[in-house]
Amino acid sequence: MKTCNDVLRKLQRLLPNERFLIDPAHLAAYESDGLTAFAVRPRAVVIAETPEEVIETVRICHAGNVPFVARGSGTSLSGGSLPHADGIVIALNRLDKILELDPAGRVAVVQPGVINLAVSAAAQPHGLQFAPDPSSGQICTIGGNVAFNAGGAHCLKYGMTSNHVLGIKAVTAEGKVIELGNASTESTGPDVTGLFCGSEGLFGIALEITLRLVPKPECFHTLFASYDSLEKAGDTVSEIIASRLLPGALEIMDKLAIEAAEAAVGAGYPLDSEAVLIVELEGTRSQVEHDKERLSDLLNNSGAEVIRIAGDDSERARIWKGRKSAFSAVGRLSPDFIVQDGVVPRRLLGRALREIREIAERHKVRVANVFHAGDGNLHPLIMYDGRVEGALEQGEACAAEIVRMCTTMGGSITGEHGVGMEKRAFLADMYSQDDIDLMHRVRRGFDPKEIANRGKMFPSGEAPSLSLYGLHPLEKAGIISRE
Amino acid sequence: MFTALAGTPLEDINQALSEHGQFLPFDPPLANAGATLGGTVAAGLSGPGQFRYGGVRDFIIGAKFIDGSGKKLKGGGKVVKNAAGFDFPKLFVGSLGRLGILYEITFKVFPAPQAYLTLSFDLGNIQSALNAACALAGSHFEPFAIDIIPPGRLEIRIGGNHQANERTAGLVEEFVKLPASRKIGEMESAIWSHLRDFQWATADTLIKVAIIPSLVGDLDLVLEQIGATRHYSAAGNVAYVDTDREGLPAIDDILTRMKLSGLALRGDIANPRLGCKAAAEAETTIQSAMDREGKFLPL
Ligand SMILES: Cc1cc2nc3c(=O)[nH]c(=O)nc-3n(C[C@H](O)[C@H](O)[C@H](O)COP(=O)(O)OP(=O)(O)OC[C@H]3O[C@@H](n4cnc5c(N)ncnc54)[C@H](O)[C@@H]3O)c2cc1C
Repeated sequence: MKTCNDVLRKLQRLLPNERFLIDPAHLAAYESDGLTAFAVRPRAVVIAETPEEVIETVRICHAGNVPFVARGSGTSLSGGSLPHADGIVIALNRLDKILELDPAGRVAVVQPGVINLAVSAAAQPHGLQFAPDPSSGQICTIGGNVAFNAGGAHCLKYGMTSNHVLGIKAVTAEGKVIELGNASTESTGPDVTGLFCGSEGLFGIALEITLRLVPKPECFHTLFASYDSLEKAGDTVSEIIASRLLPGALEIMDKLAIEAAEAAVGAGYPLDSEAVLIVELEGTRSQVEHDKERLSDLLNNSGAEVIRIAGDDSERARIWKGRKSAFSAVGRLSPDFIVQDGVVPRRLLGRALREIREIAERHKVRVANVFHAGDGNLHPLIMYDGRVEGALEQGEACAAEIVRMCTTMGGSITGEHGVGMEKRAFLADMYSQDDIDLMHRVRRGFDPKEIANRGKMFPSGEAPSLSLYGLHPLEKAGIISRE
Repeated sequence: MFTALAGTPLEDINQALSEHGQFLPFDPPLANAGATLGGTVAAGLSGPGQFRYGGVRDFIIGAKFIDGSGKKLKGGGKVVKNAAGFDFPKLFVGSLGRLGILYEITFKVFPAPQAYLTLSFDLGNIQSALNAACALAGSHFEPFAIDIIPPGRLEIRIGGNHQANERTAGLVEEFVKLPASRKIGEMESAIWSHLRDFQWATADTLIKVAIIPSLVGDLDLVLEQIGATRHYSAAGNVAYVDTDREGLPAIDDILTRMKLSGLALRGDIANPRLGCKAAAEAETTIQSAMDREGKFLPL
């Protein structure tokens, strides 16, 4: 306590009052993230405006052994930006400058608080874009994307955030400033930039990030096909992959998700179908013209009931709107829900969907499925009513069984939302104790006192476990939606 | 996706993948010289095709390795998307075998394009070639490779359906505002094996340099002065320099001065890492955490 108060005093001297929050009324806004209704009040919040302030804050925390949590926009779905009760939150959203944009070299250098979509908006006049497109893109920050290696609907072709980060300048939890990578797509020496991406903020805080930009495709061909069974949609995905086509996106929604999306935005999906598969081809006009013939042959023989091709940009937007709104739409069917983010090998997609249905029936809960089929990244949405006694436990048991199904099939416990607080207990299903020990050691190399995001990612961390789930307040307000 | 033992020759991998219409999009060099999968990862080597979809770091998804104390460890997994735990597979890219010994590696793969077409332009000098390369790199033509051979030759590789390639080639020529010589088939693939496998490099030392397009002109000028043969790949993001052993200190100097980093790929050299090592401190931190007994050479 005494050292913590010392630290608070030092921070108070460092920052003007309006950027050093300590009054409980002000702290309330920082108590939770995308895993809603779960709140931890930090001791204080530092609203940094310069990298120097972040560095100094980290040094003060390190010297006083006080934990800190970096925070972008607080949209983490796994409790990544949940504060520590004895620690401080370092808010980075005012570090929001695009420092450099080089169209010829196709790179942008940004501060961590820059909003994901702002990068593409700045690159747009040059015919370029930042490829990672999480559906929280209007609000989440590049710093958060880097820490959690965020994905989106176009990972099949473009990969995750880490595939688009060339360099990082960061302050380690010990207060040392390190520079990783460079502005080239080539590098020498071990890929430490790659290791930093997805390290869930456990090494320190990214202060400056060099991003790779890619050209916007010349043309798109977007369609949906509906099926009378989920397995048929899943099998069609495997066939598309095997056919040597490389679509920009391959997404599936099941009946419950279709109904909810239709009720919410009227995307035109057939209500009597069991599954809708969205396929988007992209590339040069001549290549897409050719690929779309092959795709059409394949879909015509896939048992699809309805195939609808977007004739123009507005029809394309409508197809995507249904998909992008599906989560919040399903969320409205139920007062509470848990969203899982497991991954299965693509060829087992059909089987995984069947098993999820069986698991849901066994646990007597409703599960809607909306997922990045091309990556095998499932997003089953497990519905429950938190006011009913035992319902949450039932939902959690169902979620846990789905996660275990993913690891049993040789998949992953998380495709893009990260381990955070939520999946700490499952890390050991994927990695041995020796593997996890190695992660611990590397983390301690950068953070010997374990003050950066203390209690996250590693099994049996000391932070409390989570108990409630639901829509993010911004989703309720209709500002963002999730995939 | 596939998993293979680290000692598997790239040739076997390429062969097995092509039977399924798939390929390694990062286009690894030196398959014909017997390069292995593990060596490619440890050296961090990608070929000209890295321009289209990314380098070896963008396709490795899982790694099993043995640390200095003989423990078997793993990172990543066997699915194309995975955000669980630290990304050790990426860390091993470029690790030169000094963080542990890779024994099993998993990659994601993509469908191979049906055909290729290459356009060769002669732009006369390095700066014009570079400008055209950068413009094409930012265009929607989506070339697979953009390489520059000084003084001013620009090689543009287009991949996909045969007819689509022809159409795109016409548009690229209009875009560059110059006629090009077009190659398909064996003549076409010969251009790229020549570049990819460094058949042009005849001196005893070959160096890879990570660079950015805006510095290529400066580097090229000094390399010209010391008489080193060189070639630029990935639209000016990598330079390959061929020199005699005596030329090495000069190049090390140049790279340090220009704040560039290099790696000697061939030659009898004590420390293959040249020029600037900006991340040295972080590398040492990681190495001491991973190799506590100091069994491996320092990075
Ligand atoms: C509606 C909705 C839709 C979503 N859709 C997607 C999706 O499609 N794909 C996807 O991948 N995710 C998705 N997410 C999850 C979330 O948006 C991402 O994880 C995002 O990357 C988090 O960014 P943020 O700025 O909100 O980070 P925060 O939640 O503020 O922080 C996340 C983690 O990153 C750390 N961190 C933040 N900044 C830094 C920094 N500069 N340096 C080091 N560590 C840092 C924090 O400490 C924390 O652990 C969605 C979330 C919501 C609410």
